[in-house]
Amino acid sequence: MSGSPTPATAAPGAAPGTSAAGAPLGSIYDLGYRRYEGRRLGRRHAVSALVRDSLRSCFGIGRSGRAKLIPFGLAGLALLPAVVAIGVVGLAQQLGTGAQAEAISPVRYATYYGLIAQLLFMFAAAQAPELLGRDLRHRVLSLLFSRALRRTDYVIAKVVAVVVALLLVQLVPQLVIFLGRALSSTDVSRAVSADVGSLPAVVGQAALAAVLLASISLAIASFSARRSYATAGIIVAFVLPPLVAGVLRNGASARDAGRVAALVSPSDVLDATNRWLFGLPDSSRIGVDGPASAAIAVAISAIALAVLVVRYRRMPT
Amino acid sequence: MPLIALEALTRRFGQVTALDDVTLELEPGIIGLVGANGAGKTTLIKILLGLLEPTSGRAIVLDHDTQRAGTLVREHVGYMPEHDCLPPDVSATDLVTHLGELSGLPRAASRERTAEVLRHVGLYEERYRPIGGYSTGMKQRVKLAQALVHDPRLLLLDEPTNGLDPAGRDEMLALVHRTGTEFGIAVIVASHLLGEIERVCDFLVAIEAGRLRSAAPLASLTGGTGALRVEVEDGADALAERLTSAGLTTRRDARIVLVAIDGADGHVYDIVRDAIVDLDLALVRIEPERRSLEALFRPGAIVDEGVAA
Repeated sequence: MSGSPTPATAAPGAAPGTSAAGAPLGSIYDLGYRRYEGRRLGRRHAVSALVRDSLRSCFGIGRSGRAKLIPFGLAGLALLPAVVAIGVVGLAQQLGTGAQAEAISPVRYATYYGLIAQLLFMFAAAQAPELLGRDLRHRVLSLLFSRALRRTDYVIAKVVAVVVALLLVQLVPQLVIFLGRALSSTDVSRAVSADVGSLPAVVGQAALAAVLLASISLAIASFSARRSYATAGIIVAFVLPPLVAGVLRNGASARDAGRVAALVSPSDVLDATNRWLFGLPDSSRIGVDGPASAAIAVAISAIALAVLVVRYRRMPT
Repeated sequence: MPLIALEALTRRFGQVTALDDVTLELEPGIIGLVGANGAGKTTLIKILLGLLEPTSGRAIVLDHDTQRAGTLVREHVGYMPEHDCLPPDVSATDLVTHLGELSGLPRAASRERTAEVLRHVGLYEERYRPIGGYSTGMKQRVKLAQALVHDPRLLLLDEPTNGLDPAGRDEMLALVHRTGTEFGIAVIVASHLLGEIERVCDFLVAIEAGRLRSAAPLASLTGGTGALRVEVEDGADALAERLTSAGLTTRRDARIVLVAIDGADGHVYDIVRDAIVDLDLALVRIEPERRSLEALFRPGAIVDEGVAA
């Protein structure tokens, strides 16, 4: 129709979106490509954006519902004892037996790490491969490394994301206990000041556990694009050393070897640091004192992080 | 200052030399990077991005050394890899927005740019669906969009038509051409298909086994050779003899007589016409000989091969 020589009468019956005058009627303007003249925030912004996106991926946010199931399930289970304990104490208080209920409650700052340790290990084993494996499997690294950041920045962002996720899993329940105790107490300010003393131990233990578990699980996850292999590898690293330590401990001749196995066992090391930080009696099998076990946790983390950095430096894209 | 300056660039992988002492300066434009598979195209692109370290030599892109200031270079360079590189579980919008931020754009700006570039490459409603369900053509568009989201000054496209059907190829090449000409972004297109390069590029860099084969404007490579092709049914021998005796330089090639125009006086066409009429030959065609790009890649070919050689 475009070739028909009837311009004057075209207006009313013309094809939708055009008019005789040539002005589009209600059509979508194709602005096409435009230059960007705005700010460029560079590397620091890039890294913080990567941290935020990775942290969201840790919990499956922005992904399918199935991706949320494991992280939120484990985090929810880790929160459960705190919620139940607070509820029980609150109920007991209404019945006039609050003090006794609190005194016998097994859920407290010092014991919480032990209650949720298994969940924490599972969270790291499940989510670290999720963060790295996806980029490895689908070769997304070439899109990421060709941006305003360095390979090491990528590693740092992933470590920070898993550390923050593990901190959240540990500290949110502790916060719930704290709020519950403060709010159910008759004298709020006294209850708060009584609990503040536990803060360094709570945060210190959570930080040690988060850094140690994040670095070990990410280092192992960087070696496999297959999520199932990576998760299995991480579980072996978490479960095998304490198992070996337990077996060797029972045979008198190999007691020293058993101690060495316990030294590289994340669960034994973190159990020891928890006892030390909260001043609990030392019944651990690790055989070194609290500061030394914290130093071991830091040393293992440092080695794992070094492996991770080297691995990504050498990775072909 | 040139867009790209390569100084004695060499890259070895063990015993294999992927790039061998390449020295080159390139100005903005649409530059075709041609060579067979394994000639060193991808290696060169990765060095330009600062993703691969040269064994020796330097690469300067947008006035920065790619090794020392890689992040600054990459802030203004877009890269479309040859292979599949898209995660299937996110939408094009989410992926490209995220990648824009990783190039340094503020979040809101990256969102806005993502909407624009996805429209520019022709992705509309489907951009909210997970990439896993896209066709190859759509995936290639997403790959181009993520390379454009931060409005780069230089675009590096590695085999952008890989895996596309003929219609998809045409669209992708048109898109590349438009991006390079209308928006003033310098583009380097690596391809092993000369025909594609010929359609979109204005400058050509040819590498072979890691060595620089030629770097020249496309027009100079496909322009006239300074010879006239005269094709006749029979009697090419007689025609050649006649023209030679008339003082022209000629060369035989089956039914074709090549006559040098350069250096001869202005009556070459007249002499050829008269000779054909006198010999009563059946003329098939008469045309200036043009260089073909394929000739560049024939074994032993020399770019400035002359007719009289």
